[in-house]
Amino acid sequence: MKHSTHRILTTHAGSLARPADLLEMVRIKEVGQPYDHEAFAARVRTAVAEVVGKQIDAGVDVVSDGEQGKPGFANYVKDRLTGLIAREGVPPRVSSDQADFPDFQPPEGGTLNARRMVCIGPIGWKDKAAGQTEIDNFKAALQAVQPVEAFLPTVSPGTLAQNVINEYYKDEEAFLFAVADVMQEEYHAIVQAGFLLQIDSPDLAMGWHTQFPDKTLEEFRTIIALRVEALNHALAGIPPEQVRHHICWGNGERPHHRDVELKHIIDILLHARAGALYVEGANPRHGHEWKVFRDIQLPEGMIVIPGVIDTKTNIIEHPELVADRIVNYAKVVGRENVIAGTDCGFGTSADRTRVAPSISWAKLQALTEGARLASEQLWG
Amino acid sequence: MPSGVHLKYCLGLPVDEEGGGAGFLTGIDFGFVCCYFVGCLLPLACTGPIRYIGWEAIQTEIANSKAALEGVEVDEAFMCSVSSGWLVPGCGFREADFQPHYKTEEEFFFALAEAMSEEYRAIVDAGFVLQVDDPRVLSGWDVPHPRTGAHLTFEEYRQEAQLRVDALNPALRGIPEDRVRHHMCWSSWKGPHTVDVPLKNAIDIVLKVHAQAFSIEAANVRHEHEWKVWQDVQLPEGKILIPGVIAHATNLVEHPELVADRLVRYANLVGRENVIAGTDCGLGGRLHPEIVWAKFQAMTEGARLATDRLWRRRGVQRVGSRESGLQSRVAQAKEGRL
Repeated sequence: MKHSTHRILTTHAGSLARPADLLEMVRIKEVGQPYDHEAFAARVRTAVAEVVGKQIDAGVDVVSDGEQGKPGFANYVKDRLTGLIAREGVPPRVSSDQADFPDFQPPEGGTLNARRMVCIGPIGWKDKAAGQTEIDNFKAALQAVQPVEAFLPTVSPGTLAQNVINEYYKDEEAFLFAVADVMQEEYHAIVQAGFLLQIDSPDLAMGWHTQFPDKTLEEFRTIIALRVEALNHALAGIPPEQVRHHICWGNGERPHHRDVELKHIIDILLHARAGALYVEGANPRHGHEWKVFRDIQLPEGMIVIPGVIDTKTNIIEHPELVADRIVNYAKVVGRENVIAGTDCGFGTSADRTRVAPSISWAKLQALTEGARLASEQLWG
Repeated sequence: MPSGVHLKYCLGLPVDEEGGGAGFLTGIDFGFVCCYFVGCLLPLACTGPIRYIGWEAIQTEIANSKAALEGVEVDEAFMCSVSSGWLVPGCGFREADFQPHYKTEEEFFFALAEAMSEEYRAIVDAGFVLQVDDPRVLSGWDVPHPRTGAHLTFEEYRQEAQLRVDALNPALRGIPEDRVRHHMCWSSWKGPHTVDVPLKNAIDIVLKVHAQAFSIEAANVRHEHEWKVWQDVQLPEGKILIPGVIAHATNLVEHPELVADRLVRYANLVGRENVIAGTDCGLGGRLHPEIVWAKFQAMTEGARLATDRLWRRRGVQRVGSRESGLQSRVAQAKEGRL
């Protein structure tokens, strides 16, 4: 993984808005209606090429495929793995922040994630080719451009433990390691294809207020420590410098006042076998947490990717604010160890567009302009 | 309320040239309520001399406020009133809108302000601090001309802003400066805000308002960096800044630590005694009502933390160290103290 050796590099959390026609195809596919497989595959391929080009145009250095073919950053695995089904009618979890404001409805929209994944049998591979197609599409899109680096996002065992109702394995530990044993193939394939691997682990932060609001902090820490252990099991044999580990508190515009504090979990996050820790740092619940890094010693060479762009609002960050945020981190962990990112994805669920697509691209421009300003300050 | 100014259009409903038409729209009061709270960009028309007729309404508001304050102790209480500058939607208001009743734009603005001064004085006479809500002085640049849709040049915007301030100040004549706070913002829609005028390009005009305190958006992501404006601009002696440290732009509740960080930045530049923590803009109607109160709690908790830093703990070394901080927190967690 490249460091910001001469200037602050930029990236984002992986998912990007799908074009309207592709989104419609994803929707039809997701609800189980018949669709033209060839037309879908072809459109995903062109959409990946389009979003790669747009990332380059926005000045993003470390680019992704935008997760264009996935219905969501996590629930895509139900199409790839055995043992998983999508079940209708499971009541959604009520997070503790929402429970404090029961009549508040987050302005999120989207229905593709409404069905819950349920594990009803052994986890194994059903469609390994889907991952290869993803790799091939991304490689093809990268033929025409030269980003600094390229990454593919994938989901962690822990996040599946959070999102999947386990009715098959005897406990969470058994489920976690079964998932890890299977998903490690996807992780290895991404790295072997020459891409950086991004592991999405929102569960490690958002899990407390969404899945375990009744647990104590210590109990939650024990739970996520096990999840990191399972992740490390899946990452065995992959050089940490090829891995970026994304953590967030949930990408919804909701109160978030029950979010676990970064300082209370950072030691566990640092145990993950990843060369980069990627955390939200822009939204007003976590904008102060750059100071957490004053109190810890990062492992030698580790990169921090702070979110300096909020993915929950449509106001476009002023580049000077972006620069201020980057400089805060750079002064604490060293300029070469900071890559500027977005808090989370702009299309974590394909049909949940919290930020208007056109604004999401303008936000990426604000990101790269802010990184340019920060680089001027930090390198002179 | 000033009279003689009628809405031609309100919320997209057509009315006739006399401002009449759809029955409820002939009521001048409704028209202004609508324009003020919705912030619509719809042109007004002046149909006669402007004068204030809202004595009864303002006295009711004052009586309500006084009644609510009985039995509670507050440091101060303020009441809001709209600036004359906001009453004219958009910048670039032109002759056809106020002639023949006023010859020039200046005359019209001064007449509006003069009428509103009765409300301003009533608030202050009742013992309240007057807050003049004056978004147009900043939002005038990014709001297109109500008819042509064209944006003003930067110089045209500054002239319009200056005119509004020039008209407002005589309306504040006779009111002690320390009874007036002036609120401005870049309008409150949750959109890109990429064409907002930078504060540094308008602050000189704003500071000419005869007010002691200035309430300015500073919490949302388009303006948070503008605390640095005060590195280059001297806050005049005796003035107070009320930076927004809570945003109406998002339903996320600000972390009190972030609120404190924001306040300390201002305090370090303009003096701790010259800072009052505020909100970016009005929160009513822009956020979930209960989240508004949670945000107020975050603001007051953040102010407490900032106060700790700025007064009682000034010069005290930060507790913990790079090595011991995490261990200490883990130990605290084990003891259930976190």
